[in-house]
Amino acid sequence: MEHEAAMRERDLALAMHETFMASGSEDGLSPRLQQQQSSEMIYSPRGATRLWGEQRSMVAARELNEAFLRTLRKTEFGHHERGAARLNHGSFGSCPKSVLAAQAEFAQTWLKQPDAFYFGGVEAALLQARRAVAEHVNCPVHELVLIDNATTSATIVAMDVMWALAEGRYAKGDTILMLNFAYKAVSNAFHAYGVRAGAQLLIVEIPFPITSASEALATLEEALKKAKAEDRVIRLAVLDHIVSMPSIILPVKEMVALCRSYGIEQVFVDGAQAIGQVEVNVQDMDADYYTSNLNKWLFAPTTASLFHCKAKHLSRLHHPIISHNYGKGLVAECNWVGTRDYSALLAVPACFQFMNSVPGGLKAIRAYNHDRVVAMGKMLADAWGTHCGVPADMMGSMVTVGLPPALQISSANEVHDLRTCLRQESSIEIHGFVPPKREVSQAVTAYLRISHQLYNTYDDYLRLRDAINTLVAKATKDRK
Amino acid sequence: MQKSAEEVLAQTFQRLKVASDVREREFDHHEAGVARLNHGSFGSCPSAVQKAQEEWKHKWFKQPDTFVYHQMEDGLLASRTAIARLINAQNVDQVVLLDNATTAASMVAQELVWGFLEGRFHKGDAILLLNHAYGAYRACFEAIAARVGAELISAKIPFPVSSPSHALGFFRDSLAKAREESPGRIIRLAVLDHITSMPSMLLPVKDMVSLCRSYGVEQVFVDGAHAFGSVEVDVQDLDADFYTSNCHKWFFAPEVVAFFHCKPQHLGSLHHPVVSTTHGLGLAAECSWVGTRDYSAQLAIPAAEEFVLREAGGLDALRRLNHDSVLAMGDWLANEWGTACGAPPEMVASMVMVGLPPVLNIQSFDEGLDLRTRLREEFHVEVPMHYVSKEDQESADRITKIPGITAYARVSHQIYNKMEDYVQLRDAINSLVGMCTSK
Repeated sequence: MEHEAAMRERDLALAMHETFMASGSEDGLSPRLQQQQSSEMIYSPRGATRLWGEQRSMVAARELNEAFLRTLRKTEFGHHERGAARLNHGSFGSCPKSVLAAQAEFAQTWLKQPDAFYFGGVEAALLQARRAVAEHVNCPVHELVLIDNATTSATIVAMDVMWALAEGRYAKGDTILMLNFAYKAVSNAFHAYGVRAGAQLLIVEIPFPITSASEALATLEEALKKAKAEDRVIRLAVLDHIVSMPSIILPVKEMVALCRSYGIEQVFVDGAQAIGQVEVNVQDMDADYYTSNLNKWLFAPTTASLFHCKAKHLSRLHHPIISHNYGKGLVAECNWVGTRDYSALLAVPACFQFMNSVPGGLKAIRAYNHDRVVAMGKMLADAWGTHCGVPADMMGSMVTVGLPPALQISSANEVHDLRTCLRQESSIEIHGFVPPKREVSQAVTAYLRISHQLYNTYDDYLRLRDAINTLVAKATKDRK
Repeated sequence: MQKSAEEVLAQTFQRLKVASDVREREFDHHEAGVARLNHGSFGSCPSAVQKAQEEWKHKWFKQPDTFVYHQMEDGLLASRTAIARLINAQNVDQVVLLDNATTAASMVAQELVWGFLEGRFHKGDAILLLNHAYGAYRACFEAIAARVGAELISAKIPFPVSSPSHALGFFRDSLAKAREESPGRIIRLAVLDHITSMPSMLLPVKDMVSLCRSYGVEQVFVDGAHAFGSVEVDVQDLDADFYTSNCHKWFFAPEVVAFFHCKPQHLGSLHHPVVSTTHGLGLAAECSWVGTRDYSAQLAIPAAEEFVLREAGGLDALRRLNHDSVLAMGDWLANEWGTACGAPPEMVASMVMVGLPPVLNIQSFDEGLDLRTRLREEFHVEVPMHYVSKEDQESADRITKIPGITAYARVSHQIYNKMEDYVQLRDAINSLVGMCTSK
């Protein structure tokens, strides 16, 4: 048994080693990769931009490999804390140096002569940023605004509900449908503006652990059937594209269609985590409103978020902060919310430049992150004797892995304490949660949410594995 | 005359012990060759404060979770504490940080909205604004008034204005007239400007607050967007329900940060308009986290205060420096152009309204804007314009005693300004006058 386990671990380690860093050669490259690297040009931020323009085919032929990433970690992510295993990309994202440099340029332009920028360039620069994003998510630019964060998007939609109730378009008691795993700020927004103005909430309980996308769809359908039988008027459905915690990619296109088939007027998809993890095609998804944070997985500076809104709603929706452009339509309102530092929004085109400088672009980045995090999730689950809460096809660049029951973590506070302990004692940053409901028989009471982004190394995950194992050993010993 | 004006400036700096080379040391990021006389719109951030902000940003990008869980809270509290002390707030709990004064308006407005929607206020109840209320404020309260059925009352403040009591008299008349028209009508909120933006006048706002209360106005909100750093702000003395000011305008904070002060009884009913994970935990908690954002400007407040202490010896000296200098420059320009200033010295803080030569014949707001653009593009002078409407022209002429001044330049002074900036403006206007008269 021990031998088998050791063999399994060795095989896995070998597989990882091949994937992350080839064996045998001086500079850590396998002969195959070595050959490839000799024909590569050294990556540098400015060089990459030139490279992309001039040597397109050569770049496209390059692989997203360890040699490339090793350089990237230094040139673009060298500002990360040394020695920290950064496995919570999902919370706050990360911004490469070249994009920060682009942001700084915009900030300096403003500081140099703000009036000239205000009257002469800010709106055009913002339009350029909006265009880049609109093209990427497949919508007309006049349906897309850039705002602070998805939290603001939720407030925009929630305030519309408040006014609908206040002005009689909705009746008191009309329902807003939300998922049990809706992000807390989103849920708060619909309480603060929706419930307070007289709406009711209908919470759909997506199960976790979950075995398939169809399980999620079936759960939603059941809830919709029941609501229909009870004659509930559902005015708005708020769905998650990728649940934040736990991390689950939901079959949101089918869920939107399902909601519509049950007569739900409006659907708001919270895709805060989505862009950069999965493909986002808003036209295809056909929600009324779609939001996603660009500073999470699209390498934007802190902060920038997209809000897509179908044209028919643009004149009715308002930014929560009223300024000079009030009443001129959502786009105009979002173009100016008072004096602000708009440089993060303006720097968004630089994100696309950065991604295009990575071999294979965003598609390759998504695939790379996904493959790695799935492998790491499996490695950790095997090492700890637990499981990942969702199947691989419902994972993006994050995976939720069960914590060993021996740690006996069963409250949010205990998760928080564990995070603090790992951060302060082991320089490991992760996120975690305790599912509010679980089967009594289930031994695993808590999960860690880990991420993979271009700057991560295999070592980050080994350190996490070992840190938890050390805590388990200590806990087991203390209990004896 | 220019020489003596220049001497007055130099002496002002000397008297207040402010170095004359602050521009070179701390503001060399300003565009060279531009006479930057519109400090009021967007402020300016010295290199030292930018550096402090960069340090906070660096911490964030290095390890954001560490920043959020172990560094940010203390940093924000330090900023709020510094402001609370500078504005004589009774308790730091009553001071929160926002993006800008525009956000404060939406926050107060939303509380009003709930008052109407939840039946505490009724259709026909009123909101009072000044005629010169800032555009975004007017937009905000007009918007919600229309939607909830509130009436809007506009209280007139004259411009040009001859004295604080001149202004106060008009304000009192507006309140009296409003009561006469509708004796039983309740004014739920009065929004007063501490320093109006355009045209810029320092108003006797403490007296105006008292006057409002004597007319039964329930809540008073003072928009002090320009005040912090240009006049003394003593929130206890002013006794408004709500007070806000931008810190990036006259206090050298980076773009952007504002503070909002309110009386304790409102802390439970006010909410930040953007609802986040902290909603319902109290206004201070709500304002300290509005979702993932760049909070570095808010965290740089102590660095801004350090700059003021180091370069000017304190807020009081800075205010006097700018006040005395801008008055001297206003007088000089008015003299050079044969015009007048639109407000008396006691109604000037760090911005002065200088009448433009009537021969320029500005006949609309748009023509004022065109002039501003022309000054920027042809003469590299940045200064905003105020247009005096035709119906106000007669009274304007009576006050200035110079007929036909239809437009005023809002000229500012901040620690980086020099005589050459004002000379550049004077010459630019004189060139345009020359072009007009040579036709």
